[in-house]
Amino acid sequence: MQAALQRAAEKAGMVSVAEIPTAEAPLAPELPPDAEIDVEVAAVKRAYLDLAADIRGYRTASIERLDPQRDLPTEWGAAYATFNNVQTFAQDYRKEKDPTKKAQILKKIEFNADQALWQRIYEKVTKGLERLQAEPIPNVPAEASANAEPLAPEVQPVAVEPAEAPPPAAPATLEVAAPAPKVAPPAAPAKKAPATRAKHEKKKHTSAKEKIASIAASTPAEQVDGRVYGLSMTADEVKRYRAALAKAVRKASAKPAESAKEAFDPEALLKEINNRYDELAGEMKAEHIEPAEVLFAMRPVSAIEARLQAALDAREATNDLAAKVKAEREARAAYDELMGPVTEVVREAIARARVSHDALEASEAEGAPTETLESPTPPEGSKAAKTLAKPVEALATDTLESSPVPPGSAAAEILARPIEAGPSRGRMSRIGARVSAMQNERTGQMPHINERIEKAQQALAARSAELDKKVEGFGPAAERLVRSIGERYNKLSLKQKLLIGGVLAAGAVGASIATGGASIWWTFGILSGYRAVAGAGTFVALEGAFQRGKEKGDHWWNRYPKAYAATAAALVASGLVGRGIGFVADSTGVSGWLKAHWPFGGTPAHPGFVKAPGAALPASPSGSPTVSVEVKPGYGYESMIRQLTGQIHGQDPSLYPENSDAHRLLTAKPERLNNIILQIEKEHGFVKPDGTSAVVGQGSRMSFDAQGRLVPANTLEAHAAPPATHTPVTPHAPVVPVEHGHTTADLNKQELERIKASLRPSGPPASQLNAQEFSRPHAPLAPEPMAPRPTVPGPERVPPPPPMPTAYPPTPFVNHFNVPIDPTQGGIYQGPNNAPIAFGNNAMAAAEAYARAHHRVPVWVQAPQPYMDHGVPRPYAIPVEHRGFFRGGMHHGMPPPGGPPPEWRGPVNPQTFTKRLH
Amino acid sequence: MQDELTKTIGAELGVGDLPPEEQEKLIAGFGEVALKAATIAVLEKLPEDKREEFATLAEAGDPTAISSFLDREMPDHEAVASAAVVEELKRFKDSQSA
Repeated sequence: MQAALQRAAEKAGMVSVAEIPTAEAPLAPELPPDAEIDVEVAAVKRAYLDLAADIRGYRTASIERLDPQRDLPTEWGAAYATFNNVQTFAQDYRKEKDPTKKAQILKKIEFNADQALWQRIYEKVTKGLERLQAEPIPNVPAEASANAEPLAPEVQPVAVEPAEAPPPAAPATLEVAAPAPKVAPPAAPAKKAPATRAKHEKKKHTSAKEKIASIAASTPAEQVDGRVYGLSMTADEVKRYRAALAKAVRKASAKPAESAKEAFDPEALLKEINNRYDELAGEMKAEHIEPAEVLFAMRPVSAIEARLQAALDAREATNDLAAKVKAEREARAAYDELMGPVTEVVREAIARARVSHDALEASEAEGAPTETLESPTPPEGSKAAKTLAKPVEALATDTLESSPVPPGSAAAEILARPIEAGPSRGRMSRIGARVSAMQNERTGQMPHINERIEKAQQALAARSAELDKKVEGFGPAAERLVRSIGERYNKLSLKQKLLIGGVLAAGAVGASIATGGASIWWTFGILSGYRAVAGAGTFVALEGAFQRGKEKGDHWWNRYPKAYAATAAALVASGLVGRGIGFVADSTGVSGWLKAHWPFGGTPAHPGFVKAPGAALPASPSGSPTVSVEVKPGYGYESMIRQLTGQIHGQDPSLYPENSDAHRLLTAKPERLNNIILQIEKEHGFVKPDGTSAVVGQGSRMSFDAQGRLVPANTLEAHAAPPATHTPVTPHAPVVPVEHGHTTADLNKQELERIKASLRPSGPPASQLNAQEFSRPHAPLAPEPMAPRPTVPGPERVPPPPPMPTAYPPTPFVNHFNVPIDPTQGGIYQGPNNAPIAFGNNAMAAAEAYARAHHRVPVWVQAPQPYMDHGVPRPYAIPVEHRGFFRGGMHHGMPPPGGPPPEWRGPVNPQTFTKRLH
Repeated sequence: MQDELTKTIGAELGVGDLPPEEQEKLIAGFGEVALKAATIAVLEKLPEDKREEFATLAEAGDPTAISSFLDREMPDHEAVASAAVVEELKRFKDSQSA
């Protein structure tokens, strides 16, 4: 044990266990060393011991030797609690096996070891010492008092300069130290005295217990050799003492000055938050984001503010030092979160709001519904398309990344505006006032409406923060989940939020009259970007119906058709079809279809689905009709199955063997249909274990065989042997196009012709191309097609498509996946492994714009210059990634000196793109 | 012109008198609160040793897996979740009328 104490003391920078205090905090039991936390623990121990020594190094007129615990209970309490925290956390850390918990504990240790925190403790102690010094000095001769400099109240240090030979240390016992010494003060500096003395005494002590017991008494006071300040001190001595004291106090106060900026100061924190809010609000105003959206996007800030305010209140309300420290910790954490991730989230929301706003404007202006839920892509050349790049460019400016509000900026304007003090102590009232003012400026709405909106937003923000708090104690996993809901939710587009909010609220409305549950768990799929959720089949079908109902005017479902359709679909899927679906039916005019279609029974007569002439379904050998569906752009296996389900709807399930795919689909309860479809997809391998969809090849067709089994086939592989496990498609089964226009087969035929044409030798092989030719934007040169892989963990890599020529025309064309490609304009496409790839003219600019709007998502773009492989120029792609404003901003991947990594090599091949993202 | 569904939900939230666009935004905002509340309600009733598994599934986002898990571990999960959402809706509405 003694050895352990000695080791611990030495680790902490002490030379002897004699320096380890016992009165303030007992040592933690012997623990195995842990390099990760040793530095922090040692630093805290050193700071703690230094402080103890410093305090003991002073005495006042009435107190011969200061005792931290006795004389500075409040100030010392913070140091004691912090030191104790570190000891306890270090113990927990060493015992803990779970890496997540270890990381959490490590954070706590780091917090308590923070230099700024210790600086504050030092400052408090200094103030305490000053307070003590302000006490009158008894028995000071009048002469001495008259000659003494009128210094600020300071505690007298025991150790003073100049350096004289230190007197022999007095026996380090409490009993000896108690009598008032009467000799001159020691010459050694206060902080070094204990160490010197400890060295001197080391040999005399025989047990750790004795050594530790001596610590309380081993203060510089002993070195004054019995002389009590104020009783026999001359005026010169007083001056010297005070000068030395001033120096010592300055030294203590000047500790970790470099982190003073981060020192805990509630007023500074609130001021910083105000500044950050104003900065963000200014950005939003500059981007012409709707005022109400300011509040909406600011909700994370408001939640943080609520946390901070609660922590500050708690800090004010308690006298318990440990509780104060805890409250400070919470306040600090909230502040840090605001300055880091939350600000980033808000900025991303600004960018999204701007994009959404423009897309919506364009949609309304041009009478076209928004394209997709995930990526509103306005028509090319439209107002939205022209302005899409604007916000991200604006967001990249230095102004946004720098903290100070530039003079004359919108933020400065907002700052300069007088704010009416609201009844709330928090800043929400100020936010509301500002937003109201902005809104009044823009819309001229009545103030009471703005107040209502503000109140509602506040209620939501407060409740969200409250729920975060409520989950505490449910365990780390539960806490993580609930908090992540907020984080992930904030990253959704408004339309996606609307979908979730609508589904849940509608579910709640309908719950009172509907049977069954809300099936809210679909919403987790949306949060996680999971594959098609919310009854995608119905979603797609309803979307068409809603679009056709557009002539009804500027209805919500026209602007957000997919969101609305999905809401309705989710209602259907969840079984809450009573009231909710009635609204859908009545308000959209699709009641005919809804009532006739799944899951309500009736005649399948979707207005948008037209059967091919003469496409009466022939009976299969078993008597059941043969149906099939062919893939179309944007369709996956799930969509195909849903289409088939619609086609066989109304059939007698007994036509198919029990447990066959068709039988299960026909007999599925509406609320379980999604599950059944997913199950079937999994059984057929259409869904990978990670939940992502397998790629549907072009020309794919799906039908039921005579046994009711789903049979995928490919019309482009007519001569290929069908999979052994599947029954081939009935040769005479008609292809029933499910929508008007070109079918995939048609497109495939055209594409095949084009590919055949392009297969003819048209240029030199890659080896003959020089670097100049490579500089032609995105001209694929190497024979092997390749798409870059994301460097971050992502969905399982999809097997690459079969080899195909990489040549492509310089003008817009449709690739093998029926994705329109425009080489003349920069665009973002989805590669076969789901990685975003920039392609076309100004691809780099497009990549950067996309990266700005999607932080920490690498976008791949072909490097402007090839790398040389044994003298042969070869193309490769580089990742472009925006790592966030506080993480370095835009980052362009540079290949290492040895050449690009294998996964970077190869040309960007537009024929492999599966989707246009932007 | 406002659709009936939004109108009804807006009325249920006590914000039916606000402009439709604002109602939509509030409905969107309500989603987060409702989802959190429903999740907490389920977590509250789940045995402690099952919470982590549920959290993992929920984070992965596979609705089928979540439903299957909850069907097995907490057959009344949908009622619990629904009740929590209804409660949130009521709470929000009350806060607006206060």
